[in-house]
Amino acid sequence: MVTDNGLPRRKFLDYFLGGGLGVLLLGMAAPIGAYLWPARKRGGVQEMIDAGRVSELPVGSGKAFQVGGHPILLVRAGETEFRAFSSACPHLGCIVHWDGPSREFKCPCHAGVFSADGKVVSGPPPSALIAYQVTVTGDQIKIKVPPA
Amino acid sequence: MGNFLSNARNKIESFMRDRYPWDVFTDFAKHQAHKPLPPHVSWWHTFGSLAVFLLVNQIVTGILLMVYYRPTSDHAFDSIKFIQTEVPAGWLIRGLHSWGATLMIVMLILHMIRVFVMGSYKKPRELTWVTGVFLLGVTVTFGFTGYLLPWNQLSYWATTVGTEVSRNIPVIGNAMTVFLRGGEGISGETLARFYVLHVVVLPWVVVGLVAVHLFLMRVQNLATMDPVGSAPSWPKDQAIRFFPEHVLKEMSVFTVFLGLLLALVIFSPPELGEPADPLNTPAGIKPEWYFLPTYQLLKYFPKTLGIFTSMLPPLLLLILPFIDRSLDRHPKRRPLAMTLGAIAVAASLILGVVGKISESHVQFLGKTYEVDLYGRWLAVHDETSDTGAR
Ligand code: HEM
Ligand code: FES
Repeated sequence: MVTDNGLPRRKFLDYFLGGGLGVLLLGMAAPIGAYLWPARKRGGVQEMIDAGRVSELPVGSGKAFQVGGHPILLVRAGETEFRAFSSACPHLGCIVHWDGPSREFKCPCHAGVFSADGKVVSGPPPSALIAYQVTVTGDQIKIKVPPA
Repeated sequence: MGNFLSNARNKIESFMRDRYPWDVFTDFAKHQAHKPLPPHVSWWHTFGSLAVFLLVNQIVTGILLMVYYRPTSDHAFDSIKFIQTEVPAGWLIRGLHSWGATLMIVMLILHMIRVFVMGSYKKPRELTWVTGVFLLGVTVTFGFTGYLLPWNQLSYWATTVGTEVSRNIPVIGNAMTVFLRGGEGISGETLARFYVLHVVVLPWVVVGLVAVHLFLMRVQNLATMDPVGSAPSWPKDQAIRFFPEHVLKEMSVFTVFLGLLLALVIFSPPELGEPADPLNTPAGIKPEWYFLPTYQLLKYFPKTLGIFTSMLPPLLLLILPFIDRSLDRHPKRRPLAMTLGAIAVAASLILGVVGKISESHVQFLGKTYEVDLYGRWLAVHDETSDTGAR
């Protein structure tokens, strides 16, 4: 038996059922994909957070902490020179540390070295450390961090 | 007693016979057990069954570990410590699982080399080889996901670096890394994802693939060393029966390996190290040994180029039976294939060793050398200046 456009009825049924099954499976896969995509809190603007007191951070020293899962390094490179960076190395994500004596950031993983302003000095990192804005009012240090 | 047993046996048999085509079942079992194998089947042909044995070990010890293990970032480390120190025989179960994983990879590499050298991957067994390469891939993924589960410093940072590499895949790399990790960084979400893969998804995949692999192997019987296309020429009376001859070989090797496995567990128990600290990367992060060649390769080829370079060897492995279409199986008649194979093995070994000693200090002939990222050697003259700073 042949339909109007010349397609045998049986073939048409095969395509119809096959296509229907395909659509059904895709429809079921969509919510699974959405479910597996990391659920995150929505919205959120940049946030100013307290990062300690000037008097507690001697010149040349640094301080590591974590805000909403972001590892952060605050350093006092000079008397009035405060800088904050994401301490995740832009190479492969190890945590860099502040080397006070040499005034450099060093990565323990593949010997990446960054200057006090976050620029790459040597090693494999492809780009500078991500910097965050620091404001100092009186004795209070504040950092603007991305939303968690 | 004997009477009782044979009575019970008769009862079960007649129960089954009344309901099912019982002879079909028993004939199948007998046929499989006594299947005649080609006469050249040797000790080298036991690596595959050793892999099955190790897989069973992984499944049994894995199920036991799940009883006390807790897949959360707060409790994972402590629960492993508890298994290792408090649970009776916990050290044994964890040791068998950890060393079993390593031996499993060793065994697959040996199995693959034997199949390669004997030319058994050639027509008509291409798909047996392809399912084998997938099995190797799944096994390595088992290793990668399992490595994170103890949630210690080494596992945390090796996973950070390992998943970061996938960012370099063009277009989808970033999304893929976030998807794998369940977020931007490695967190409890990553642990949950890896756990589900490790204990549910991968086990089903591996069991399914092994079933197909063994089915294909049995249907076509093991390859002889005759060239592709020539009719199997072995006289039936020289056949090696699967049971008891080959099974006896397998049992002997099992016993030796069980001894080796136990010796490793007892004399070199797996370490636990320090709990993961997301704020502090320790020095000397290295992946598991079977990732070392890739790890080192990636240092010479950065970014996208590195992704392509490191994808090449597995890809070549996958399509090997379709590129190498020469008819000979005997290694003596395949000098080119043997040479290329030897080069591949040597290159992996060299890259692995360089990866292992890179960024460390090595003692050699009484001198200390500092080996840098890329494996370049530098003699250290003043030993005191440099160790203190670390
Ligand atoms: C979980 C992993 C694996 C298991 C449990 C397994 C098991 C086995 C067993 C029991 C055999 C029969 C005899 C022998 O040992 O040679 C076999 C044959 C074979 N395997 Fe595997 N195997 C695995 C992985 C692999 C891998 C990684 C490859 C190669 C990439 C591979 C390729 C083959 C081929 C081509 C044969 C047929 C050999 C012949 O006909 O002589 N297998 N496998
Ligand atoms: S992760 Fe920092 S140098 Fe590689």
